[in-house]
Parts: sequence; C-alpha cells; structure tokens
Amino acid sequence: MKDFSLEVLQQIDNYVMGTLSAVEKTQFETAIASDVELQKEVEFQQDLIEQLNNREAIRIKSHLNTVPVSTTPALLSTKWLIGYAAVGLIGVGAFLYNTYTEFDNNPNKEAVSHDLTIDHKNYYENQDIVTAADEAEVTSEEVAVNNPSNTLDVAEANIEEGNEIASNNISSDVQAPGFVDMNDTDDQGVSTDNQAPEISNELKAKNENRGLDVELDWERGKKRGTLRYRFANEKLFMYNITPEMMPYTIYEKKTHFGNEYYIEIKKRFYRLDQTQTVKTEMEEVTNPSLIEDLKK
Amino acid sequence: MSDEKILEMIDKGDELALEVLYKKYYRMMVNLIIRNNGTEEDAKDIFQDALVVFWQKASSKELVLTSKISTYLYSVCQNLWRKELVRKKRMSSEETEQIAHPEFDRNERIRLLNECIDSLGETCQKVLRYYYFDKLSMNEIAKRMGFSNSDTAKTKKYKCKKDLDKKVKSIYAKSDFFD
Repeated sequence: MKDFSLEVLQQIDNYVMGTLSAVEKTQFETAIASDVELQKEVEFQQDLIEQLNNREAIRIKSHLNTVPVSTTPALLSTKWLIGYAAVGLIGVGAFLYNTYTEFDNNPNKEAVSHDLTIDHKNYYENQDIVTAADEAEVTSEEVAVNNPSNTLDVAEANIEEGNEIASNNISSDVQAPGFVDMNDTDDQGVSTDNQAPEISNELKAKNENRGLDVELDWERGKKRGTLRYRFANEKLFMYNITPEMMPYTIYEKKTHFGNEYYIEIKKRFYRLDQTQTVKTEMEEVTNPSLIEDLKK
Repeated sequence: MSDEKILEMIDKGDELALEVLYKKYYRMMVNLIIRNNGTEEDAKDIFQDALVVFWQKASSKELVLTSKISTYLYSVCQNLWRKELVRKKRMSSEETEQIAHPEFDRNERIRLLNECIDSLGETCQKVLRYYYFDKLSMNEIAKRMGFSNSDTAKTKKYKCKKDLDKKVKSIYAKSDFFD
C-alpha cells in the first residue's frame, strides 16, 4: 500500500470523522473516485477509526453494566400481565414493611412482637381471601390486573386501622385473591387458560407505576412449585404461597445500593430479585455469613 | 447533581458523570422502552448507547443543550429505540444465511484490530481515544496529557496513528482481509 502525506492523512481523518465542509467533502470524494489507492486507504481508515470508537463505547457500556441501578420495577409490562392471566393465578399474600415479616403455621399462637401481631392479621386476612376468592369465581384477568392495588389498600388499612377495617375491605373486594395450593397450580393454570381476555387500555394505563410480576420455580425434595411475587410501591406481594409452606420469613437487608429482599422458607434462604423480569429458578442463598447477617 | 455540574465533569473527562446519569434516569428509560415493546435488557443497551452519544457530543463541545440533560437523553433513547425496532423488523424478514460468513470475517478482523490497539502504549491509546472518540481539540489533548502545547499533541497523535496503521497493515498483509 502506498504511503500518504501528512496532509492527505489529515484529510482522510477529517473525512471519516465528518468534519469536512460540504465543498471539501465533494472535492475529496471526487479524488477518491479517481484514485484506487486513496479509496483503499479511506476504507482502511474508516474501519480502523470505527473500531477505535467501538471499543471505547464497549468499554463505557460494560462499565455502566456494573453500576448498581435502582431496579425497583415501576411498570408492569402487558406481556407479564397476559402471562399471568394465562396462568390463571389467584393469590396475593403478604407484604413487607420495614424490617421483616414472619408468619406462623399456627394462626392462634400468640405473637411475640408488635410487628408479628400485624402480620398475623395479614395471615388471617389471607385465609379470608381464599374463601372470598373461591366464592367469587374470579377470572384470572381480574386477579392480575385489579388485585395488587386492592391488596395494597387492605394491607395499609390493616396497619393503620386494624383488622376490622381490613376485613371490610376484603368483603367489598370479592375479587381479592387468595392462596392456591402450589402443587395444584399447573392444573389450575390449564383450566383457566382460556379465560385470559384482552386487557383494556385503561387497565394498561392503570398498571403503569405498578410493580413487575415475577414468577419463580422452586423445588424441595420431591415437591415442586411456583412462587410468584411482585414489588410495587416499595412493598412486596407474595403470590401462591401455600399454608403448607408456612412459615416463611421475609428479610430486608439495607445495603449501600438499596434494599435487598430475602425469603426464608423451611430454613432455606432465597434472594427475591427486584430486577427479575423473566421466570427462572429461585436463587438459593448459601453464603453462611449472609444468612447469619439476615438472621440478626 | 445539577446539569451544569455534570457537564463540568464531562469537560474534565470524568466518567463518573455517566454513572450519575445512568443511575438517575435508569427507571425513566426502562419505562420508556418497556412501554414500547422492549425489555429491560433492551432498555439498558439503548440507554447506554444514548449515554455514549451524549458523552461524545458533550466532550467535543458539539452539543449545545437547549433543554435539560434528561430531556435530551430521553429523545436520544426514543430515536435509538425506533431505529432498533426498524432494524429488528428488517432482520426478521431477511435471510440470515447470507451474512453468516462475512460476519465471521468481521469478528476476526475486529479481534485483530483490537490486538493492535492493545499493543500500543498507554499514552498512544489515550491520545487516539481523545482525538477520535472524544473528539477533543489538540489544545484540550495537550492539557489533559500534560503536553507543553497543541503542536506536541498533534505530533504525538500523528506518530501514534502511524504506528497503529503500520501494525494493522502488517497483520492484514499476512492474512487475506485486505487485498
């Protein structure tokens, strides 16, 4: 290949970088058209400069990928919504508040702290919802679209004003969800598949700023099931928790990058991933020091 | 952090500015992309690309902001995503077989180019980056690199580039990429 003068090389640079004036550009292109060597050199430089730039872009992008971002989902995608409707899921359970929430197998057992008292109310409430939902023949769409906000209201009311008001809310919101036996979920999903209707634009709009649904499979021994949860308004809604799975404990861990949430089910810990948008197996936490930390 | 402060940081070549913007507007852009049939992964990719564009335009002083940075980034994301949707649509309607072979050549070429760039000294890599990617003036490059003046920067850039050209061309000569 031919060697070019400093001037020509500079001109090639300017041409490739798009800093030539319109007149200069036309002149240069005329020159390229009549000089094969120059044309080759321009192509070579285009390639090289593009790569110099690409690798910088890649470097910056891969650095940004390591930056922790606030990923509390603020939007519920319609894909998920429809997916949910199709599964025919009913069930909304607990939510998280400040520290951690603990549920007990025996709802009659006295709570040991104020926090636990509140959570026991939720537990009862959920039992009520099961009945309400069974009686109301809830369509899957209603569950997916309407319930999170209802449950949120119920939960908040429960905290602020006690069980009685919460119960009223439940009775007026018959479409409130309940627990589904995890082991039966698939069967139920099939039976309600066809009921998933189109979601209206209005409902879609209502779902903005709502949490994203996350569905996780779990397996313990011979038992398998699906745990569904949703983060919305900084609260956690559990779906599809069976009474059989109780007690479960949700832990909140304050970290430098924001809060992390973990669930303990039968002495096993799982990370509740707020960034998750696809269905994957539940990630079990095995780091002993993290578990120790959570138990504190 | 104010927009002025962000621009000041970019002016100094402080990439922390990008981190700040990325964190601050992450949800905004994710919502934008998800609302328009994308995923969070798409959103990350598009928003990062938008930040790269913003960085280049701001550091080269090519950008005259008439709006808030967030508004600018939002519209860049919108445009990039629109293009991406068109590209995806076109890709799905095209035969993919034809591009398989050139794609391989291209990847190999990129690998070789990267090797050559990596083999340059750190100073050369920086000077070339400042010149081609950040599109800094020779004065600015001299300032950042601690050279005595813009002529030194110009000479250095020329030497580094010549060195790189030589390395790449000799590798190309050995293979049949460049005939």
